[in-house]
Amino acid sequence: MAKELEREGIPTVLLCNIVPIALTVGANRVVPTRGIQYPTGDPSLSREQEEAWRERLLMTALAALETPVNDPTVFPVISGPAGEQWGVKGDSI
Amino acid sequence: MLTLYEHVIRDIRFGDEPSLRDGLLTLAPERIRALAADPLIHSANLHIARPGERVRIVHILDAVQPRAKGGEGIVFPGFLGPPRTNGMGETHILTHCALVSVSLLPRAQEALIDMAGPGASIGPLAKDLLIVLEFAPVEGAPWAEYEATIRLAMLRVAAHLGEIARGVGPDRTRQVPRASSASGLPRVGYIYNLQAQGSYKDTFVYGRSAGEILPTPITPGEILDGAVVSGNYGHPSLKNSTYAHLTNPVIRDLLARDGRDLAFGGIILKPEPVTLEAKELVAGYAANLASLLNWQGAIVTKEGGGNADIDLFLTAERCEQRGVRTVLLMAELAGPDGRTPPLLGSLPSADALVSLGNYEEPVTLSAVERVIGGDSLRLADGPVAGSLTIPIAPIFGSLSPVGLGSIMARAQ
Amino acid sequence: MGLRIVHYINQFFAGIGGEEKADLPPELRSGPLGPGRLIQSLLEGRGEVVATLICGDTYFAEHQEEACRHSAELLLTVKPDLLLAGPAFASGRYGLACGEVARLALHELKIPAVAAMHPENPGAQAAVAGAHIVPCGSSAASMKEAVPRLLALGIKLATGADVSPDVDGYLPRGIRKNVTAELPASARALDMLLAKIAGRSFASEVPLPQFDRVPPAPPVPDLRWATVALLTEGGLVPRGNPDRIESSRASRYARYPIGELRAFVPGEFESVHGGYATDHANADPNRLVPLDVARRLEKAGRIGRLHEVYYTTVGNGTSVQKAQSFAREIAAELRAGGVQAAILTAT
Repeated sequence: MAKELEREGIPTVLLCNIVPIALTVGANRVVPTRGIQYPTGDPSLSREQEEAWRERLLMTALAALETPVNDPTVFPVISGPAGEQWGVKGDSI
Repeated sequence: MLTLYEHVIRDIRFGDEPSLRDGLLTLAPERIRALAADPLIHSANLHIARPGERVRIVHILDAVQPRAKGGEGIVFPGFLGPPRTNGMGETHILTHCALVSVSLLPRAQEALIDMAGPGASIGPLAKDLLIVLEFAPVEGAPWAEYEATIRLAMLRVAAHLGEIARGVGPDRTRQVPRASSASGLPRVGYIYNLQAQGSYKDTFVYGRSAGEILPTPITPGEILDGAVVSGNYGHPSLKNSTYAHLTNPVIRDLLARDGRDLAFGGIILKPEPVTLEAKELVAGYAANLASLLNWQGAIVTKEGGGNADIDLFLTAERCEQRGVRTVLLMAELAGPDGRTPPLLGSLPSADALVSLGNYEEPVTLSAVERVIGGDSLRLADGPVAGSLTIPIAPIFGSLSPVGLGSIMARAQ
Repeated sequence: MGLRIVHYINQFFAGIGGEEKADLPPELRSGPLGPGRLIQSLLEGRGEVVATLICGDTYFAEHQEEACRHSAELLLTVKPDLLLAGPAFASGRYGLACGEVARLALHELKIPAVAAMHPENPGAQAAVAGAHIVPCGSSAASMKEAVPRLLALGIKLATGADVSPDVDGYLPRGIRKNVTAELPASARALDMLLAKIAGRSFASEVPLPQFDRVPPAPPVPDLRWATVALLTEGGLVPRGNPDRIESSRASRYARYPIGELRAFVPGEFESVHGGYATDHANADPNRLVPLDVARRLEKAGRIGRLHEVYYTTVGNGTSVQKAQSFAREIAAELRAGGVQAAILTAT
């Protein structure tokens, strides 16, 4: 569906786990998640850590929406040693 | 080298002493019940079902083709004895028959066999003489333990049946080498995916769960001696029974054609992990092994549903990247009317697919006279002995991932 | 055999007239007309074109529902064993009518039916809707070649013979059917693999999905001034699934208001997706649709505005066509709502 929304002109970022297939099927902006059953979560983390992960994931998703792409592109969630966000534009929270 | 003695079973009857003569297998029910006994098993009733009889067998868990070693060693290492590498020496197998276990087990997917009617031409085991062991647990037996107990009981009985053939002249003798000595022919191997997701969906290699293994080479003789055993009660059309492992048609054909139009490069056992990270690891690892073994091509089979398709495609992709061409066997999910696109996704390198049939196409089974294994079916309304319209999937082995079945789908 | 055949043609091939007569409503005439005479001569006693069903191309295109209803009625008065339509060659409106009449004959009236037209005729879409369509040339110059093939397939269908696009040459209908294989899968696989290794051509038995690329939509320059919508294929619905979204092969999607919510509260929302274990998502629905963090980012100004509804469907076995039509409708709503970007979560 991500590809179809883009076809209609709405930049869409897809958060999913099985990235190779998403790319081949043609989603243009993809952010890998940690598990099929919890796209924006990770139950193996503590509540606080999980919310922090969700925030990093969403910030990466927003960066993807603000980035021009030519082909299906993966935007992995990256964080630095002190937890700072890399590859993300805009004010950090 | 493994020497395989094949004994064709033409009929089965009960008697006081077990014997095999001119294809007539005499079973001693008391001996069998004694072998199947266990504190957790309340009863193990013995039934025979012959091809063509209007019999329906329900609540099927697993099937095993009987076999036993002729001299040293044991079959089903890790279960019937210490896990020592086998695949050498002599093994007796009983063909045209199968031992089938039947029991109510929660969480096991319904599986059935019709020995006559439309269902019989679809279910590969309907061509065999079936020895059915119908189990019931003692009250309060924990299901996971009971399930393991049934498996062990089945393997004991299967080995006992194989032992009856010792000393009897075989109908056919085959040599199964550990590796091919053919040269100048395309080198083709088999990447054998095993589903191992723990309880009720497990596969065992030398008695240990295949869940955490890395892809690993194994010789055909070891498979024939029962190194791989099924503990999988997922969809009967998407899982490999122990019978399927033992009679694997891909291995059979690779052995048969070795030296004729191909050189059999070997078998790689490969797990199907749940996370994408692990899937990527084992796909790349298997491809690496395949290229290390100088394969020019690989047949790849899977076990399981849509999640396992990903393992299939990733394996194909990594192999092709290493110059190992691939062909994949898979069942299709094309909907009851055949109109849903059969694949939910794919990868470009997975361009050679062999169809095992549309899993969801309905078939109408005819009414039967006798039912073994239960008096109700979770699949359809109406009496269990009646005419049933069900998707083809619950017919045991019908869309077997290793190609035991005879169905394929094509465009209409 | 004695097959009773009805032949569908347009006003032109029936000899009634050209464009000026294209508004003719459906009518039935006795015996064969136009190309129907060729069909009759090819039958050689195996059957008879008992009637010709005629409809003007313009009438059919502009009153499709009524044309279909009326045609069905007329067909039922004849109760033929077989319907043949066309050939329509490259004529678009004629092709649409032929395809549609063939489809409705087969699927609604259970009358075996075949149409013939150029494969790029827009009417050939009826194949995907289930009609048997035999491809032919683009002009009437190929009439002599096309009609025998139209009839041959028609006879096979009417006599219950097994047919397939590979053997009988009709356009793929996207339908898969189980058959008994002549060779074991292992043998077919080895043959296919040896061909592949040798560089010989081979045919995959399972059709491969078509991957079409969509040019990416331009990025949003700065989301701090934009409205973002949340969507999911994970089947997140209010408790009780009020709109009955199916757990697989969903035939619909839904939108639910989140304007007042700061986060999803477990127990008030649940996942109905049938393709995975939903325990984790149900324990915290924000693991499926990240409302809590999205709302925080909105309050902090990282997003201009979070759209007041989220959209959900179930991506478990949903067909490509459905996904396309959902997306088209949702995109229209999003644009109307001033939404500039979408975040879609999938399981």
